[in-house]
Amino acid sequence: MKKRYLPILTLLPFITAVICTGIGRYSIGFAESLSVLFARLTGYEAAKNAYSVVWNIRMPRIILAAFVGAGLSAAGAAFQGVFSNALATPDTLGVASGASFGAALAMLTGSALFGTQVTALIFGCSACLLTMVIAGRDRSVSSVILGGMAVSSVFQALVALVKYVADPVDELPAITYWLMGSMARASYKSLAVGLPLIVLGTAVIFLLRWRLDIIALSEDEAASLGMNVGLVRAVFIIAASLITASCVSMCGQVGWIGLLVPHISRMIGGSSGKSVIPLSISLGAVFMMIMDTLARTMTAAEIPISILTALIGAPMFIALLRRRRDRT
Amino acid sequence: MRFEIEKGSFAYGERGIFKEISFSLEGGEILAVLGPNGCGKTTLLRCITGLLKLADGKVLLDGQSMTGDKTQWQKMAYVPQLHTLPPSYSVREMVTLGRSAHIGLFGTPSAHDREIVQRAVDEMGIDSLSDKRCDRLSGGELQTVMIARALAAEPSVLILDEPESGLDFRNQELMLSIIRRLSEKGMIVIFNTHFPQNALATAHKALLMSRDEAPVYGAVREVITADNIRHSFGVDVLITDIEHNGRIYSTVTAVK
Repeated sequence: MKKRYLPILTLLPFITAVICTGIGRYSIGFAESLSVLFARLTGYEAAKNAYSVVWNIRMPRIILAAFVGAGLSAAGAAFQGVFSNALATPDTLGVASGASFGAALAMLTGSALFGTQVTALIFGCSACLLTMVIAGRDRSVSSVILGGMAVSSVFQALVALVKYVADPVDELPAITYWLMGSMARASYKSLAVGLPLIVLGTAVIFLLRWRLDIIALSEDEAASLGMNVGLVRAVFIIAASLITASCVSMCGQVGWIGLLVPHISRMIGGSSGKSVIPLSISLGAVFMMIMDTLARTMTAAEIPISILTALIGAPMFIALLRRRRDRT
Repeated sequence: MRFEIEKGSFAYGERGIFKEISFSLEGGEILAVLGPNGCGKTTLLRCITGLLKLADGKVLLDGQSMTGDKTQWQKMAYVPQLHTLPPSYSVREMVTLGRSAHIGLFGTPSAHDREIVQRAVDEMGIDSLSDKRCDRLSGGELQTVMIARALAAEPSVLILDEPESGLDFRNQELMLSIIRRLSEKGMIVIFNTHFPQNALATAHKALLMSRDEAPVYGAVREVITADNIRHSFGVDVLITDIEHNGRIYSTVTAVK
């Protein structure tokens, strides 16, 4: 990737964010939302309604969508590199299922948002650890992914169990809707708890982006390039798990993005981590903001985001795969 | 520069692979390792590089034990055999990965690194390939890229696992000439090969392994003899020297 694209990649999410703040039931133009956003700095007298809609309602969930999109895309790219497997996603290690179980359990016991996040994080990371323990010492790619599948199905069964015992009047729908994913619960308070972990994980992956190319090589090659393969792989897995668990705890399960965005990034800038990671972070944020804006504006009621990402993401992915096959 | 292995032994559990192998190489020397399939040639190379731990014995570079960390890989490079298609990085990106041992964990290649990469690319004559994707290269091209990547680490010991295997006649000769050229620059080169003739044409020293017996080590012409080959491979051969333009070429032909 050329250096000159960097400003565009940095600006793109911000421009998307400004456009998205203007879209919704209460429609605000691009110029108006810009003025409202900078009202404090410029002393612009914004309409009270517009100010409240932009800053209190739309901004938190746009911020959440941007960070979740960027984080899950970076995590997906990291997993794909670590396992040299284009199909590896944040779900591969069972992290997403583990975190889902943790959050569902917290909802069942009626704990507050913070409690839900912590429980999701604990179970997400435990799932990751469990997968690594099952995979054992050899840590070969296939045993890690098979371990992840086993752990994932165990936690999915546990989620089903939680749903089964949940009160069908209020708990069951809450858990079910939450599992489908939504940015609607975003507030500045919840952002303050969850975002630092997403930022931390994404920053680690970004800083290690060049190492991702080495870790994707065969074990002997990577080791003979003088890299501590076990350590770097563990750092990537922990960072990506941290992101996944935080995202799941804040907005439920959002599928497809960890697969779709890194693939698009590879098609744009080649498969080197040096370009895949920055592209994934930027495009992931943009993609998720657009998805969330669609989710809240397409119909009067909100559409769960995982339904949208799958309905839009899957056909897009198939189209991309077909195009790539034609070219080779 | 001196590279040696002292009484190196290795076993997978109860099954001994090799026992008490010793050799010593000075700067500019080439060692060819030969032996039948499954006698442990690749295992030996992996032990030399520290990717596998010797059960017994020592590997010394300039009298110092190998550290197994980054500092070791600033002096030594290993080109394993490739069994899978490489990732789709460009040739230049792939060669740049060779700088890894010289770059900090969170670092990315600097202008200085890119300069050294360019030198390795020029050295191997693959500048015209540098924007091509590695998964679209021919076998011979890919092998040159792998060696360029190894050279980017600026090693003084280069270890190659069957560098000329699976290549056509011309590319085999190209690999051997590359090995000779690097040794002329003072590099120690160790390579595995299935072809006694290639060892005779290239190496100064040879290590001939057998499945159940002690290996034979020494000057290449003393090791690659009809007797030793019959012993190790169970094949009767005729080794003949041909003179052409003032140079001696040795051929190894299987006879009945």
